[in-house]
Amino acid sequence: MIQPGAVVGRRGLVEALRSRRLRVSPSPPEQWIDNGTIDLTLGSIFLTAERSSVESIPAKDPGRAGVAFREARLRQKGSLVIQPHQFVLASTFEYLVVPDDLAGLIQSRSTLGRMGLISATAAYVHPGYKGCPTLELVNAGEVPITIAPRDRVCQFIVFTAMSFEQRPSRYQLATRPSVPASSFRWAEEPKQVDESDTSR
Amino acid sequence: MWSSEQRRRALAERLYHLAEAVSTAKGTKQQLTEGLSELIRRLELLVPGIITDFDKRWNRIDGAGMDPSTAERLKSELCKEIEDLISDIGPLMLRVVAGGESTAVPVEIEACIQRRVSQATPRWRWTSILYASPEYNYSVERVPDPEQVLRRPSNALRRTKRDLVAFSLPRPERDAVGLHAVLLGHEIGHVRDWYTRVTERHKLVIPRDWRKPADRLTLFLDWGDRWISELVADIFACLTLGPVALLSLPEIMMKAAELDLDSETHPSPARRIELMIRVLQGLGYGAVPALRPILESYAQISNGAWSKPVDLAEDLPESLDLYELCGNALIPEVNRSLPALELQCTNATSPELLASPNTWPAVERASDLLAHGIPCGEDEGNWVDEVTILNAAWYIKAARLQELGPLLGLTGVSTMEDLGTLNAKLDLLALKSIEISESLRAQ
Repeated sequence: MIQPGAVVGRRGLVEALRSRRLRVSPSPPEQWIDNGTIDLTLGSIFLTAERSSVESIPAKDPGRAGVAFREARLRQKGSLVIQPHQFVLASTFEYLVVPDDLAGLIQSRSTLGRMGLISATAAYVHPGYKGCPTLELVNAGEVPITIAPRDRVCQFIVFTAMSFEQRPSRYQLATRPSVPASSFRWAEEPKQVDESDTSR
Repeated sequence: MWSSEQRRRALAERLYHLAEAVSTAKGTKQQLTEGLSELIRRLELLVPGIITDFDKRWNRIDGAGMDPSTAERLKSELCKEIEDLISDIGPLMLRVVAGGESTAVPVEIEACIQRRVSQATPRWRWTSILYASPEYNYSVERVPDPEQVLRRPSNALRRTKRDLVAFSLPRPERDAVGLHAVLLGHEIGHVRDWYTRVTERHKLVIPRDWRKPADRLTLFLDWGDRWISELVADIFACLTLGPVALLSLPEIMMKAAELDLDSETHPSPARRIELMIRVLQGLGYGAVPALRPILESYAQISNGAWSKPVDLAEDLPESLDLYELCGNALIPEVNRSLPALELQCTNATSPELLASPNTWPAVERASDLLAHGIPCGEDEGNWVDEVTILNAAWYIKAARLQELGPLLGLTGVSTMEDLGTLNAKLDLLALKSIEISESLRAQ
């Protein structure tokens, strides 16, 4: 019997995955499951903020910042270089479906953390969450780091939860890095399309 | 009249710009699609190759001691050859290079498209390239292998094993299930048609009064070929994708009032839907209880379409009367050809690629997952194929879209904005499902 508030150990995680109470898709190999953690990989879409796009972000009202982001979608063999002190939004490749009695945190794996690549805030995954959590990656080191889709960069620490009240979230069902629509704009506007031509 | 020297200078400038475009695209190497990387690799050989070849031949003329007028004529011929080569392949190459970065296209389904193109052209195994168009333009074009063309410009017309095939798509729709169904169904249907030569071999019966004069005959035959090739692509789409092939008609969503409108290039959506419903019924999809009401609703908008006279937009380039006469002469002949075309396409589709209603239970299982906000690319640790995923998403769009509402806090889905949000979420879930499926295949 797992007590509320406890980190779920390896056996509990394997059981939760096997019974599909907890879903991680694609299913992680068993060696990626450890006591309390499941290793996760990077998705293929990244958002990088344009450094000079706004003067500053008001912490009181970050929603009004209008930071310009540039999107990079990578093929499986593609890669992205994160410069020292650069901030990149990514997401996990794995899609998580968390039951009402589990919750979790996503943090960077320690080996990469020591090279300087950290997940700036441990993403909280609430009970009932469905989606690919957004990762706020920072290269805190002095050397550029190359990342690529499916790199094993972070781990999902799973806890038991109790008395959780379900509330709809705008980040529910996310499959790529998400930012509030009001607080950002695209660095490069997609080209205008001519609506008159619909031939296929 | 320009001298050969002036033409040589203009050519040098054009080739310089082409080389620059290739070099700029190569600069973003990490963010290119697989197909574009391959094209760039070949263009890097082609452009210097053309320049070297041109200079060698130009210098040979100079060194041959000919009289000036003969030398000028030969140089002009040389310029014309290269000008033709550039005008044949240059514009398409530039469009592809400019729109082919991985951010502009559904790079997530690139491997899937390549696999299906290889299956459609088993002996040629063409390389596929996706590129974004600034227009709502969906098309597929063969890109001749630049090295072959360099060897002999007339090779541009010959299909070879090393050709590429470029799919144009509108960037704003790159994540949409409808677009993915178009690429994997209708557009690859064209590729399969080129390979199996169903359209090329089909002989339309020409009504007596369209056999001459020559320009009347040409109008009838060209128009007929274009329509037949679109219908053959639709048939292949239905045979290989099943019901989701119906999503390859954007007009259903975008121009509901113009379902009956024909054009020189495409039969009206209503005619195409009628044919597609018939192909799907022939495959047995009409017997699936969950599908019956949906297929019937499509059938209602297309019923009797082939018995209607041609309905053309009024901005055609030439006499509308002649076009109407031609269209009305063509429609019964094309309609009579459809059963034979269906049969030829069916015979030209490998049994393992043929869509079947027997797999519908798997589609329903996948759609149950999507309706609960869960990607459906994996089943018991195994990948689920893209046809099942796309049909599951199509089925949700057609019959169960509202079920996604509560997951996003939308209780009464009533506004266009709500419907747009649900459709977009579903598109992304389906795309994620394909990504998951592809990652499992690659293991």
